[in-house]
Amino acid sequence: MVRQFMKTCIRRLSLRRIHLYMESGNGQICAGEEYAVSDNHFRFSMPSSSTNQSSDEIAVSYLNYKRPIKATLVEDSNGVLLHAFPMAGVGLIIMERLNIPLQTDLLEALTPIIKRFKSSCEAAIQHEHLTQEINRRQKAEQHIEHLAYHDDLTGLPNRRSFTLKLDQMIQQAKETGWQGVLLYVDLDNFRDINESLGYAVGDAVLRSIALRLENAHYKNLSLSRTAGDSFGILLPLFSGSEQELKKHALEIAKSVQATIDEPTDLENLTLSVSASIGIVTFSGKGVDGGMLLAQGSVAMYQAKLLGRSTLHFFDPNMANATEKRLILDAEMRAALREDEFELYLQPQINSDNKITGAETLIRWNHPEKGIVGPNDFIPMTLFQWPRSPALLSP
Amino acid sequence: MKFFSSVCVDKNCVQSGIQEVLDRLLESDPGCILLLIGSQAQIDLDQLPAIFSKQPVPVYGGIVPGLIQEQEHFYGGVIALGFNRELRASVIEDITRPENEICAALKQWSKETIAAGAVVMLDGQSRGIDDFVACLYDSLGPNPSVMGAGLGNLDLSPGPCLITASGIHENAALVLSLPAPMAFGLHHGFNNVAGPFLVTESDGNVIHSINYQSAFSFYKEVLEQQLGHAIELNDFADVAKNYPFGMLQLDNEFLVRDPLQWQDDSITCAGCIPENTTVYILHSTADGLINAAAEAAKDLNADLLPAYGDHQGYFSFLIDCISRIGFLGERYGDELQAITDNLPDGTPLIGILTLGEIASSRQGSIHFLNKTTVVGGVKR
Repeated sequence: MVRQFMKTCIRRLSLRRIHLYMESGNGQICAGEEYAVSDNHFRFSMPSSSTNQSSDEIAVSYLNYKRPIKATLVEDSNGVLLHAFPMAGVGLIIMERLNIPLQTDLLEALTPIIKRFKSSCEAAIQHEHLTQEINRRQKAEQHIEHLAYHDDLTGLPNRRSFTLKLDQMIQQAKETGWQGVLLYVDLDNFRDINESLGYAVGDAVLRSIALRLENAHYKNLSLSRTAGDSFGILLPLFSGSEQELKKHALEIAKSVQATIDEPTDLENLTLSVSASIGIVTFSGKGVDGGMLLAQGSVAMYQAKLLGRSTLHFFDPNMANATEKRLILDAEMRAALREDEFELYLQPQINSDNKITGAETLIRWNHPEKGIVGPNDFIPMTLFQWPRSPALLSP
Repeated sequence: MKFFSSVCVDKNCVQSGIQEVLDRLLESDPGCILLLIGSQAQIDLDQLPAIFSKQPVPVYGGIVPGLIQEQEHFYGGVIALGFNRELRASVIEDITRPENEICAALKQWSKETIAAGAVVMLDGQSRGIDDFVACLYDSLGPNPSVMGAGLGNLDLSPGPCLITASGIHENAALVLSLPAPMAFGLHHGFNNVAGPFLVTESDGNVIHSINYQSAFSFYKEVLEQQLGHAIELNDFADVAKNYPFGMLQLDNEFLVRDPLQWQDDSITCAGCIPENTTVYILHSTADGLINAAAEAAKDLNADLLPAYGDHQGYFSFLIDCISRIGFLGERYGDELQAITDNLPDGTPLIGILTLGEIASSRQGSIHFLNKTTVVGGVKR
């Protein structure tokens, strides 16, 4: 708008130059190069390449006195005629001509045009301020959203973000038939660092490890900080055989361990930290994110039982009762979503061979284990689904 | 300061003679060469980039409707100008691009050199000329003197009209910086015979309505009133070329806009006519145009370097709108005679016939002109 106005003025009024002076901070409405003329004001000129010292001096004196809109003519020492149009509260326009000043009737005709231009500038400035406020809020919202899904200490995605990504990958695995790998990485004896050297050192080590993992060769991997000293890593879905998948997962896991093993240089000391990794492979059938994380945790603890800096694939048979319950709980939540529970009605017959009622039985049609009887899962958890009246009706 | 190390005019130059012309020019050890080619010359443009790239100095070429030497004009052949130093040059492609891109390209060129003057050669049929000229002014400011021309063919057929060692260019502009300022004289000789009228709807160089009426019908009616009789559509082009539009400038000068063609009641002009512009219908006589050309030469004469009177090889350069030949017909020679008569004795005149002219105004701003005589030389 400003640029177009100035172009039109140059063309219609046969001007040599035109300058717009405004308060600093309103330069966005000019969309061009601006030059500071004082601490509080800038100049936008057309042609933009030109400067005029006299014009700047006049402008600064005018801008300090907020006068009503009235054109004033000043001739500078080089014979350039400067028509100044103060716009109270907005700024000042100066139009330059050589030799011949703008005629009086033209100046009168310009006054309402300058007033309208001033109003347009005010509206543009208000709009600009509004836009800036909206941008500030958007940035604040983006920051809040970022905080909701990222870890404040390392900047990595957090557990919530990781679980969402995991659910996405499970869905993709289901659709494509490909397989996925989750690495559950836990730093060995990290509590010792926090307790002996302080949490500040522990935080520095975590930041350093996170940065190394991010900068190393894990661009295609989804890396998250899932808990205090734990990281979750998801490998891209894999279309090869189970054996190839495990080999690939093992290579990546070892590489992750090597990255973590690198010494961390802090100000006065160098620390080395190792990690144990639980590895879970999944095909997308009968699992959800929570369940895979639980399996990863079990595998990681199984690894830790073998010593530090170890790896272990998840094996449901090696899980203890608590771990089994944890896994079963997650599996049952997934089964509820997948509608894997089935009701069977068993008739009750009296001595006359007449049906007098029916016994409702529940079975879990597990995609991998087949039909699972209630003895295996009812004692493990509080089970709500069969209470549904619709399902209980004969 | 002389601009040219040497000038070579070959009215009959064809493809095979290009290298010979360049060789003659190279004897004067120029810093760069501008080759102006008459649009009816038997020259294959596609072969020129390869020829240009073999030369020891940069060579730029432009197709113009016609060429001028003294009182003669011709539509074939070449005029080759050897500049006595290498000029900072830039080819701006696609001048219909958004203004900010054009300005950025021009500022890149202008910041590399402090030019006292500049020469512009651009596609005379591009829709981006006015915006390009505005950007050029924004980049250079009011102090350098700028002179330029619209390139193209005599029959107005579109096509590439700018040639460099890197290729042939359409819808493009060449800018060359000059180390010394230029003096100009420029006049068109047209006066208003009707108006003022308000352009109520336009888009760039196309006028859709004048005084809220369809542009072509309105314009035709005004012309019929002027002539006192109806105009047959077949004759309209011949009549309209003598009645251009004029946008009144504050210094009581009209910026002429030549109506080129009409379609669906809209009129396409050579150059932009923005909406809400007040326009007049202009007209002139042959004598009026010839006198204006003489005035242009007189204005130039007053500002020329005194060395022009000493016959030291200083040239005057004429940029004359091709439409003036359409208007003057056989009397066009009188216009050239009027120009040379008013230049210092013995000053050689060379020039081009163009599709629009470009020159700095008295206030410094740069304008795209129509139907105008611009004659320039080295400023005193």
